[in-house]
Amino acid sequence: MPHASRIKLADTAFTAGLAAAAGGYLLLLVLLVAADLAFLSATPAGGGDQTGGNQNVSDQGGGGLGGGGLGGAFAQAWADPNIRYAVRLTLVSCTLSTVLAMLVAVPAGYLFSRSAFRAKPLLDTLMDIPIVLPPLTVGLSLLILLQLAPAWLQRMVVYQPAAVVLAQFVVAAALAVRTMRAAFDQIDPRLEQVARTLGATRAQAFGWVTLAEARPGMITAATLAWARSLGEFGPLLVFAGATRGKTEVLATTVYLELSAGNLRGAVAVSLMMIATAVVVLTAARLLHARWGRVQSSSSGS
Amino acid sequence: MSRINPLYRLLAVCGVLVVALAALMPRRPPAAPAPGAQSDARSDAGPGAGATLLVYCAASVRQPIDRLAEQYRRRSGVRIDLGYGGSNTLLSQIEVSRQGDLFLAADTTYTTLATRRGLAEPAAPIARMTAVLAVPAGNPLGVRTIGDLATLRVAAGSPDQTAIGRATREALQRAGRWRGFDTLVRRRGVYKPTVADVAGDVARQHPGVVAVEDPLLAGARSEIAVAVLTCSRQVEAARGFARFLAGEAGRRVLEEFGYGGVRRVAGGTRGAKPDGSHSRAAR
Repeated sequence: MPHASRIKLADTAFTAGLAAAAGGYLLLLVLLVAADLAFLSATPAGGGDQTGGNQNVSDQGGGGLGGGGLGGAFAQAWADPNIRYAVRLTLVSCTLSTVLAMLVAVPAGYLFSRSAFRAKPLLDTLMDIPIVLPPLTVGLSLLILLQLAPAWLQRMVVYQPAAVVLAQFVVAAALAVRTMRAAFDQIDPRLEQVARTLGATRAQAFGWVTLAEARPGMITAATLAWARSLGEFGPLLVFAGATRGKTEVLATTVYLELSAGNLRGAVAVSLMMIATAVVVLTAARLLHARWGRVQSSSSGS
Repeated sequence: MSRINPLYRLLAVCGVLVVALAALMPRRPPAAPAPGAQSDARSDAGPGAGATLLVYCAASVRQPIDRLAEQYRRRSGVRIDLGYGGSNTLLSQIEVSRQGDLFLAADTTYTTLATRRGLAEPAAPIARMTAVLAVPAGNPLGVRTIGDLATLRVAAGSPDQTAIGRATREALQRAGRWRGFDTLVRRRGVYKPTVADVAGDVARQHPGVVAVEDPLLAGARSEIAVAVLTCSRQVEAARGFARFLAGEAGRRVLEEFGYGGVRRVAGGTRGAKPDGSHSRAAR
């Protein structure tokens, strides 16, 4: 039928348009990573430490390991105890700030989604401050704020690993609150109201009904918060400082290597960050899919 | 089905996670003096052995200072925590936090500012940077002076953000050449916020980079300087490290990395990796 075939043609064109847009962007991203990899394998080893480089690298990664090409660049980076420290601090601090962010985001998102009060638009905007502010300003403000704190608290936080978590938390929480609010906005409040009419307290209705429905939103929020924490750099530089083996996270490493002119090191660490992010975020998406299935099967029974 | 409200279960899980992650936060090894510090021939267990100094350090001099800090720890048992950043950012950090012991800036402008604001004692210069032209190895375009750059794409350190950029501007202004150079960079090139960025522009595209000295730029110098902070609670230990940096050991390492008053032959080879003394790159 000509009409049917016309529709089919139009649909194909539509799908092709979608694929072109998505594919084009994906291609750009893949090319970015590929260019980094090509850069690493093309540049000769020692570009980083010929003029001295990092002592630890030249001490330990020297024989065989610190060779040229791709593997050499990673081996060289990994041989540096400071970078291994940065990897660990990055993973732990990102996860910790994500959990803390979620502890704020779920109640705050719920409150903003379900309640109406006069100051809400203003408070809503306040919540966006960490997203709107230039990153360095967030760090500077934290530093200024901590000057008002008692001396023991200053000693514990300023320029210490705790500052890394706090700086990541401030920005990650703002993103997570936004996401959770959107998630709660999409959940029909009537289910909760039904639970209340059946004698449930607000906490019970929230826990048994809303929380289950909010799971996909929670995973998205946590993923976003984690990813943002991973890339967080501006506030850290000012508030936690960039001290090797103390407050250095991977994003700081990239900056430190770049500012010392070690392109190879900077690119190798950037690729390590990409790999870490891909592994963690894919795991989160798989978890998401599995949870979604559990949820639908339990609601079906 | 469990009777416990999932909300409380989730909160409990989060609580356990927070505690577990806080425990997993990496701890740095204790600041014990390095083994062999005692047996070391020059074991002048300097002032404040066992102390930890917080040093604000210009990120562009990271590599030599990293090594010097480690040498100093082995020698004197004083641990050096280096907080890196741009000299101007570091100055703001010092001003706000009033913490730390030493300020190592890429240019005396910043230490002078710090002294004037009562944040630091007068600074001691530890090394000097001189502006040069960084060109691809072999100098295929035959660049000899700043005049040869007219048709090339030029990357230069920003005169507002980098110490050497400012020194270059002053030197060229004295020679009446600044306006032409500034126009050239704006029209055909780029200003970068750090020297490493500038050098990277050339190094990314060419396997080797060499430095060409233009007598016009000989006056474009900036001095790396270190100053003890007035907020330091370990002034003696801080002065000890400052003396070490300004002394023979510091000079040797800094020179190895290309800093210092070392004169070079025009167009002389400087190795594959550009260092902080290059102010601009032509390609």
